[in-house]
Amino acid sequence: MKEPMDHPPLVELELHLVGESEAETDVHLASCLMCRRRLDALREANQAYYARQDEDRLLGLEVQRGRAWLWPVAGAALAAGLLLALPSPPSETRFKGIAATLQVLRERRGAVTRGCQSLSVESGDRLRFAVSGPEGAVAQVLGRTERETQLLAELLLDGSDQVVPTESFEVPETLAATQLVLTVSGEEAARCSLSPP
Amino acid sequence: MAAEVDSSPEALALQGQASKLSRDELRQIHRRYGAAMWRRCRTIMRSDAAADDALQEAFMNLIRYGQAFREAQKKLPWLYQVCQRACWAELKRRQRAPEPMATLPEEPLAEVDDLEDQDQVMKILLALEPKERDLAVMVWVEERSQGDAAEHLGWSRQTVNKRLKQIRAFARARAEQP
Repeated sequence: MKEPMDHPPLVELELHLVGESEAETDVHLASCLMCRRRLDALREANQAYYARQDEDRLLGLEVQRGRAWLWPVAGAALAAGLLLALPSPPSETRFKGIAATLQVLRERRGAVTRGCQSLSVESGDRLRFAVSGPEGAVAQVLGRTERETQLLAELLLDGSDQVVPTESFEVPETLAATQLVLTVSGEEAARCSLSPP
Repeated sequence: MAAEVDSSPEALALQGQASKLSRDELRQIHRRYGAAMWRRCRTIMRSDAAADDALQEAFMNLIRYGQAFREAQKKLPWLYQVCQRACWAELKRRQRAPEPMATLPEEPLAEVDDLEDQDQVMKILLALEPKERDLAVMVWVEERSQGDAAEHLGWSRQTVNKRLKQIRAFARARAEQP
């Protein structure tokens, strides 16, 4: 049995902040300046946490928004050559036991084309990705050029065919040949390629 | 005699009672409990980045235990369990040398004062059985009384007292190892 003058443990203060504390804790807090100060410190820590935390990213619910299509431009001939040299498996693959699909949705003058292998793209096209894979896993779509790899979209798979990102990318005037790689739980699962003009 | 109900996340999921949490539910959980969950992860993981990783893992797991979450009477203690499991799994997976742990309260740490430093505490926690680990967290992180911990674990106070002594003895033995 807790003595009346006992200060509530830390966990009770945390419970108080989320409205799940015992009634005796609330009574104690009303009369204990020390515990109220401790509670204030927790509230400040909460505010600091929510101020810095990117909720969508943490929960894996959202792709990166507003990211410019910044893939560096390599020499077109060199890049195209590298692209062709890379093996490009079909969009639906099963690497290391992971069944997943990746396809590119290209919107050009109002018409949407779905493709994967060496899909031709040109300036002004808008792109999104159709992804499916094991429910509950975190998937990433990476753009790989000769020079770098960039995260283009991240999502939590729900077992259905999901289209990401929310806002499509616009293909810039200059685009290096690009491999699109789908990773599921950190493992490569599928690959597509883009062919600039 | 009523059968004992195992309401752990894993048990409920295995019983087929799990149904996924929606995105909105996840957001609501994060907005209400996220900071407290992160603090628990931070206490165990000892760095902000590692705590973020563990918390993300906890939320990934939480999706699968949706129905169990909805049925939990007190949500935060249940979520703490999910966080702790994610932390232990992450620590074991990384198999990395623990970094200095500055967030465990001084008083409880003083109870294992034969330890060379706080790093040793984490090594000891990882070496314990899961329920003993829960006990250590309850007493030394959450600051619960032994009676309170006994009630939560379904043990007698004598058992809790005995186990804590065993943990301390184990800690001292580990600390004395070269």
